Amino acid sequence: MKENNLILRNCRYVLTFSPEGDLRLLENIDILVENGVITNIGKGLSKPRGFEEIDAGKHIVIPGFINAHTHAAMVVFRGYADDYELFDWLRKVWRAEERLDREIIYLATKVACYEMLLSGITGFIDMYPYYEEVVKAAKEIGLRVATGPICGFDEYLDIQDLDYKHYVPLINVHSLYALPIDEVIKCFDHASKRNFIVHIHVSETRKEVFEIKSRTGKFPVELMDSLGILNEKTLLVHLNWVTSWEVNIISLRKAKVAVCPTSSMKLANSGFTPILEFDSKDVAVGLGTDGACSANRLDMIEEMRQLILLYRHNYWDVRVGAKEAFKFATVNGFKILNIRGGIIAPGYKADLVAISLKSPWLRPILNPLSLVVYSACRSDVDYVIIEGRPTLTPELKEEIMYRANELWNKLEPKISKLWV
Amino acid sequence: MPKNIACLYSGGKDSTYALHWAYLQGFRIKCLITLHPLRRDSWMFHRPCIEVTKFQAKALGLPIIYKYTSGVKEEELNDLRSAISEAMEKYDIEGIVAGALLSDYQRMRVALICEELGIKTYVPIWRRSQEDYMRELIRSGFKVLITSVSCYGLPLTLVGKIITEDILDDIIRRSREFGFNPAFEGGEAETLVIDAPLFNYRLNVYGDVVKVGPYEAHLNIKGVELERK
Repeated sequence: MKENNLILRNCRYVLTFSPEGDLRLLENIDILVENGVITNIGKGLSKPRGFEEIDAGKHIVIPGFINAHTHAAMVVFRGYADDYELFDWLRKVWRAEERLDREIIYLATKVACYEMLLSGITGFIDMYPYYEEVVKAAKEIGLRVATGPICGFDEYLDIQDLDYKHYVPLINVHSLYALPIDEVIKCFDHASKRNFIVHIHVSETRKEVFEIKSRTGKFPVELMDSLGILNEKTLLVHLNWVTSWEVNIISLRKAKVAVCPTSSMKLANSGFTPILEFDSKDVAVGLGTDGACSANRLDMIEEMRQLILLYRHNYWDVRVGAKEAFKFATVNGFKILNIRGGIIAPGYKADLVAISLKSPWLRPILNPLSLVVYSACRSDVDYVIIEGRPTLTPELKEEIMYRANELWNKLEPKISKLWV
Repeated sequence: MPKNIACLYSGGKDSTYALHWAYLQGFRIKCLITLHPLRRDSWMFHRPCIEVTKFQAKALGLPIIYKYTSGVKEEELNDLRSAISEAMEKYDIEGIVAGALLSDYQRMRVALICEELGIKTYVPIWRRSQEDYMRELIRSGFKVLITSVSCYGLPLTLVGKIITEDILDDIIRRSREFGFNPAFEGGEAETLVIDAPLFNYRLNVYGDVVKVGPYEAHLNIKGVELERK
């Protein structure tokens, strides 16, 4: 049997955006995948010899989720700093992080990859030290990963050849406040020469905006633009306190955005990214879980729901709904990574997730989109296919749970030294 | 323990609504803060009818910190900072509620001053749908008097009128046709709240309508009386 060749037979529902941008719902249909790419969608497709067949008759099939911002290895800090506002949180966490080592980061990222896989995530954008370990862990599980050296932390910004086809190299810059502006500019220059994405936290808190404004006379995005470091390869994370004129600048420069609603709420950051304004200006907004130290879960289904609830609680209207959250979690994540995926259509990478309809909380089936976004939970994820490779199946689930717990057994004695 | 906060108050619909929201959220409103700009073109504060806030404070049964400010762009931020500091000293406030709807200039300046002073900011109507907000305001029993109009598409006859549901329908229809903000966030009109659910008194306002130009008129207020509800 060839890898990356398969047919999803008789999918009860297929829910996806079309390449033209409309939400589509197909019923009782087959998806043919050859060499990791979707080649045909239709009824009664014949199965070529040697192709694996998956019966999706009791499933909703959707594109895989891209976790557009996380610090995967921070699963080791889950429950360590639950009740702190961001700057107190950072003080506590940064002290503990000084004691991390390569091995912990590798093991922790691997266990986080299992957790993400179990919730339908097929790729993630990561910011953490020792990115080579992060890539190694992702490679062993088979997840897509976008990460790279952290400006100011890693001595060399040159990215090694890590021999992994699902690796997207990028440059991480923690923020405009964590290191001198000269250093920030240097990192952006380096990234721009190599055409890498730069992944940076911006305008996360009011305090950050205050500091940058007092220091430079400009709001953070204004500052970036005046320095010439804002472009289509910039991924701005959070933007809880962005101004309306900065929204226009971001749109003009075609920069990308990632939002992490659970983390923003839990860290009591207040403010919230004007996602509706960004979306209406065609700025690609991706959705992220952030690290498990702030958000506790690496669960994109939960994150979609939280995004909508936060929006509605803030703005008292329903202009952002399941459709937008689903778009941010799927299509837009792939757009940010510049990978032809996130859409179930011929020619697109076969990153697919099949959600089982067995659970009683997924009835009645009035609206499959509503079920996916508002009612499903990660335990309903049955299959995760990454570029045609079935990475999670119902048969593998128990073994993956076992392997993840074995990793925790190995990790726990090593991480007790981190607590300060 | 409820949080003690002050309301940045201009007497118009947005700050009165923000105050109303704060009460409903369980905050303890300790005082109003009003800045009276000495220039007409202040970036931060509303000038028309600003003195009426003293009557509104009585109607609400709240103390008011009433300060004059030059209205010059950066100086008025210093005046705001000192007014908020005074509220912190006198009333031990931990936050400010403000009625900014779409002006980031106001919202972010207030946020940054409060950050500097170490207190929170609450901006409940920020980026809300303007049409929905206006309808809710009227249905919630706010009596909103239009005190000036300065926008092509809005009839001058609105000056001196209280916004009813019918008038609001007309404003919304015109806002779609002429492309202005139905909640007047761009300064298309100014408002004064003369009665609201939390007012113990209603305000009787007397004055004349003064036409300034083909698209501009304002209410010249000559007197205000409080009437027990």
